[in-house]
Amino acid sequence: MPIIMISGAPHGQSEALAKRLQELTGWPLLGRQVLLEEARKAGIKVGRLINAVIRSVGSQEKLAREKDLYLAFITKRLCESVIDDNLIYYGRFGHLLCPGVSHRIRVGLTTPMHQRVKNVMQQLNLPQEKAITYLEQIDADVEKWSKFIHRETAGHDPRYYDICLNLQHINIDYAAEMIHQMSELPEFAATKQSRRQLEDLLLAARARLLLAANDQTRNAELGVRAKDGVLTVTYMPRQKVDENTIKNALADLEGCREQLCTMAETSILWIQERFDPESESFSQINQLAQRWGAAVELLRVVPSTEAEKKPAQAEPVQQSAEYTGGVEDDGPEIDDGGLTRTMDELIAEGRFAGARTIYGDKKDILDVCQEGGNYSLVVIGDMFLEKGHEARMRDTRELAIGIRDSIKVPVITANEMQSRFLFGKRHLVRLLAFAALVACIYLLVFHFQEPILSLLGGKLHEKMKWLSSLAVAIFVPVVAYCYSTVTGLLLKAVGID
Amino acid sequence: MKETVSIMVIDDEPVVGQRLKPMLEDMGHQVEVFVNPVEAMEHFKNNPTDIVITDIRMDDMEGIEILEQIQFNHQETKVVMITGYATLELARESMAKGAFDFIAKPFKFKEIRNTISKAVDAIKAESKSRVGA
Repeated sequence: MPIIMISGAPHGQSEALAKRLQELTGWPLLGRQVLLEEARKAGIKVGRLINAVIRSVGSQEKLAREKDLYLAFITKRLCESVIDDNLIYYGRFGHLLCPGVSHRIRVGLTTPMHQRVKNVMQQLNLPQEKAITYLEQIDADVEKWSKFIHRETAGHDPRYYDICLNLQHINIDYAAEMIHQMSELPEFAATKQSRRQLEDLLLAARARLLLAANDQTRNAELGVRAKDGVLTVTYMPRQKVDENTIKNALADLEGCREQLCTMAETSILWIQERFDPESESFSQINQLAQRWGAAVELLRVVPSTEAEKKPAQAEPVQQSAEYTGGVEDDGPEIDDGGLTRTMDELIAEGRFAGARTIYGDKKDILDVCQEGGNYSLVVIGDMFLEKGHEARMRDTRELAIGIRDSIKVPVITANEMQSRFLFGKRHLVRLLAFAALVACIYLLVFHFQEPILSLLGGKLHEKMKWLSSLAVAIFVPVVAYCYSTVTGLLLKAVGID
Repeated sequence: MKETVSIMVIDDEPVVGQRLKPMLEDMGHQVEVFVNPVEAMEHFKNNPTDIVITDIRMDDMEGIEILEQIQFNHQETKVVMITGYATLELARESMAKGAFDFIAKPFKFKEIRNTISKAVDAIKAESKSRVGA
């Protein structure tokens, strides 16, 4: 029998629908609020996530891990509830939870605005005007939460649901009856495969939480996934974890057929003085990393005099064991040049391979590159910012040559990313122009076969042998160039480098 | 125009007041800490403060009730809501009922420091406009 996931806007009728369904089916009920409380009790700093949404603070803090843990916790809790049983879950993003489990019925519920306003006026004792403003703000917050936590904006998109119900013209009883009937369809019956998917989700979530609870693996950036009972944990180079540490942390993991620990090998090293996850460079590097399945390592360079030099070090991790009642110390106030925010974005994308800051010059950068892992590409972004344009270009070029010679991998500047690896508008224009040229050439060749054959081996050839040699010598490379440009751009357009 | 303001901290967990008081005093403000919200409100009736920082979920009186009482009698007092049981709804409800700000626990000192600075600026601006009028 299926799992029913009801998603609806705050102060709508989701809970009422869930309760009516429970009366019809007798299945257990679970609400989002209960999950939130349990997550909080389990030590997940839900408050930080809420502050980030309502106050837009926390941009300097690492929240990706907190988000990850929150999702792992609710996934674990949900999967444990449904592994051998049915469930009616109601919340805002039920349709995004337990992805890939085919015996879910994802219900999108729309409650008319006037009904929601009435609910708010009754529940919160607010006048109508304030209730409307309140709902507008809470809807905006929910949208932000969706993007922030689930990285989705699928709230109103019917593609994410199995059934969408609008309570404008039907009442809760009809809606509940419809879902009840739907739950009896064979399409939503649990299959061996869907149960397996549920078990895999549970396994990965349990593993993620165990790794977060272990002192040695808590701060490591790890990729965790499970397939057919085989758990794969991927760790990034340069982290203070290894296979044994991970396996020790997962010693108590239940339901695991096999554990595999792998170190991510392909990574892109991005060197820059200041990072910005909203920059075009970030978007391009992220696109490339996604296409290659690569992780991105960040190297922030702080130019300094010899006296200010500090040793290369991993980013500090702040922790406090003492109970503070939720009022925490600020920690060191440092300008990290956008590194934390960029790390956060990469962690959320699952592409973070590590980050470090070095204080020094070109020599120090080369030293760090030589120590580094298996890079498939080095991207040099905005460097030597204190210098003039010419000097900056020259120093960047010299740095690129130095790194290329030293670690023997391709090195490019951020400005070259688009032209070298990504398909943009300019490439499209070029592709169309060269495709037209190639088409014209072929058209002409097939249209004028007779004179061409005459030039290559007929009467014309007899008269002017030198001309046919010259024509071939010029024509063949031109055609080859045009044709290879078209095929190269086509391959780039479909993401094959 | 005031540079120093009076602040009342209400939280049934003593550690919250213990940690906030020295930080707020370092900012140059006068701080009173209460762990019992009923006593705090009794005291507030005769000694209203410029700012009240209150927890939301407490046994004897809810923070929302404190907010409503203060809004009813002393609209000029800025109320900052803090809670370890934050939800988006609770945050927006507080704001809709007139809270100056809402901070979910756990929070860092700098977050409350920023909020208090903004509240002091608002108090100063209101005081200036009253003098101007």
